[in-house]
Amino acid sequence: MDLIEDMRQDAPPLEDLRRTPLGRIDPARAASVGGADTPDEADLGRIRSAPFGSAL
Amino acid sequence: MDPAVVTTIAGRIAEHARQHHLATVRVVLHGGEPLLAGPRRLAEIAGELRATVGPALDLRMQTNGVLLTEQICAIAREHRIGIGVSLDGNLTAHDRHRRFAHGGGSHQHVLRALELLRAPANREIYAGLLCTIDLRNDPVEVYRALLAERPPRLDLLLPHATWETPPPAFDGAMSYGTWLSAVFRRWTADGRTVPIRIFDALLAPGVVGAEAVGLGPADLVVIETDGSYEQVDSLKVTFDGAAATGLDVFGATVDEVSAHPMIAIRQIGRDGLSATCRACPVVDRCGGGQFPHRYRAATGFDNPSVYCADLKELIDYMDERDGLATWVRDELAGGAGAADAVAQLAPIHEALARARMVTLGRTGPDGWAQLAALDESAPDAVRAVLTSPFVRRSDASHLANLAAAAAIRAGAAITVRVPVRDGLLVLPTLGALRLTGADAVVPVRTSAAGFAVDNLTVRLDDPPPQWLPTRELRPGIRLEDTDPLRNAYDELTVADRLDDDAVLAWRQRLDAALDSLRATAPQYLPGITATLRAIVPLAPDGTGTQRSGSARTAFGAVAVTPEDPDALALLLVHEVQHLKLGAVLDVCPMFDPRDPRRVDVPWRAGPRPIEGALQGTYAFLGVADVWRRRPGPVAAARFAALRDEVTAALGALTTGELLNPAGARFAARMRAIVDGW
Repeated sequence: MDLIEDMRQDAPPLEDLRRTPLGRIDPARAASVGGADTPDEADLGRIRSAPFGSAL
Repeated sequence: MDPAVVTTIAGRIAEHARQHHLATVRVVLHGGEPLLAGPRRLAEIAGELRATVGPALDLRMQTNGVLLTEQICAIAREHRIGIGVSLDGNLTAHDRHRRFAHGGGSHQHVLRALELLRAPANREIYAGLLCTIDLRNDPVEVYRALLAERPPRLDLLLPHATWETPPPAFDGAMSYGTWLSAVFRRWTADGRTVPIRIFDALLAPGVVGAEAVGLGPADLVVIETDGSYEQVDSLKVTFDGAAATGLDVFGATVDEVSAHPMIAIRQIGRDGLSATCRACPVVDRCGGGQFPHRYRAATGFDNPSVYCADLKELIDYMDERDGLATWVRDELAGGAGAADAVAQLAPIHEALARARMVTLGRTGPDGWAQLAALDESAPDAVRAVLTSPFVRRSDASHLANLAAAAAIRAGAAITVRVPVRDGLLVLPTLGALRLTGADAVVPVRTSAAGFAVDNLTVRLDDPPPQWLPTRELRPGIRLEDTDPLRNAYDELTVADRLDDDAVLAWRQRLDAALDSLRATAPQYLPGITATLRAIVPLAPDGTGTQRSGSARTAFGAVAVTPEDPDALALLLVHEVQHLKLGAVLDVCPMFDPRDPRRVDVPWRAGPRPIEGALQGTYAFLGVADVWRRRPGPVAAARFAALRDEVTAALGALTTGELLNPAGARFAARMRAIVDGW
């Protein structure tokens, strides 16, 4: 029986996208997880990159 | 069903669709068992509904399958009736409950029906499978038995129960949440090839609708064979007469029955839920569970679902699987993060890069078909290309570049039309070919040795002068000074391609910086090893200002000015902290991205967006930690100053509910670390 004995997850998230060949990935699934890569102008809480210019 | 009833029902549905301009009206013939009506009557009912309601009609039937025949299938094809079948798993699982009056099981009959529906001619009418959970059945065996019938979709149903008549429980059995989580795990590992409604609805609330979960308005009404309107059948488990409305199709419109208080309360979303549900952080996902499951005699439906704990367990498990496990986030929030925690981050980038490829590939651009084929025949070569830092910044035309690079790595012969940008034909991870006066798009023929463009053959082991190879600084860490996509950093200027002496200097600089860390703060090396794939040299501005940068969509790349080893070590820690948190945020949102509020931070003039403040805090937490570990009074002073700045930023971030619960937990963990210094 395939029980979940331990809720600690050692496998990384989104493993289905890495295991499934590209041509067989559901486009809707791809679009739903990839939304963060294309923020829109209303995403005022986000930044596109983190530039640093000073001295550490 | 009397013909007059059918005619009136069809008229009511058509009237409702017309009044509300509905593009689709789903009508499900169900039971009891709808096939008991017989083929002729089924055809008459379907024909009348189709003729009266018109093209908006989405006609379905939910059957136990026992009476399904090729004749019924032919009728279903003619009248476009989607057929859903109830199947509870393998023979043992299914025949626990679904038996004939004589005691014999129905499993074999159902399999025969499904064989009919799988026939090529009938695939279009095969709507899917419904499975009612029984905890005595192994979840993965049930899932596999369902998948073996090749359904286009399926759903897993919790047995109807209330607080008065709790769900069936069995000695030693797992919870319903654990049962569903086990299926979810297998489904995910299998690539989620078949939609499972309850999972999709919980993953995409508001996008995928389900009666069992979510805050979507109740949009169904049951019409009995005598024409009386009822609410959902499942209400019958609550109390006698619960499903009744007192209305029928002869005297009331669909709008009138929709105004029934018990239906109306399920159309106002969160406001129609119990106080416990309204205050719950996952209410948007479960929506309080299925309406009948909330029933308790004393308080009616003003309760969470009797499956509340199970749904919460499932949602938490799904978030851990699709998001990032809590232990990983807790470990990373402490600063460096142990090796097993940081090892979870690069796979996130890889998964998102692949998702990006699929999204870009939908329109079939040059390179997509070749890339998808190579992913089947040479997955390691594709993986080597798609895990490079700038893949997620690709547009559709870049798929050709990626396919060509993967083909060369695989030793495969393909021909693909590749765009030339800024006079460069870029083959990610391999290098770029300088082309002058070339067309915007050129055909590239790949081989095991290299590739050919027009009349020029490029052997990678003996390339012509136009070939600009990618150079490594250390095993697994490239110098990226050629790919135009590296220009990913606001306010920063990337350096042009470096000569060999400058590359050598970078190798020495990076080695020395990592040696510096190894000597004073080795805790940060696993994070760098697990994330850093490319250094993007920045052009010094002549003022001596240290500059560096990272970008959320360029996981693995750090842009930085050439600095002495100790300074470079700090800049690497700073930027790798950004990369780590960026990957976490990719799968675990910690704030509302649309929140326009700004946060004051000590290290920068002017308030920052929430992500900027959170990222800066995490980056300076790492830098402060490195200074803390370095010897001498200068280091002590830098540490003290940065510790105070991080403390102040954490104070600003944790007021005003800027962060969601995951973000608040991450910030609290950072605070605990700083307080312990």
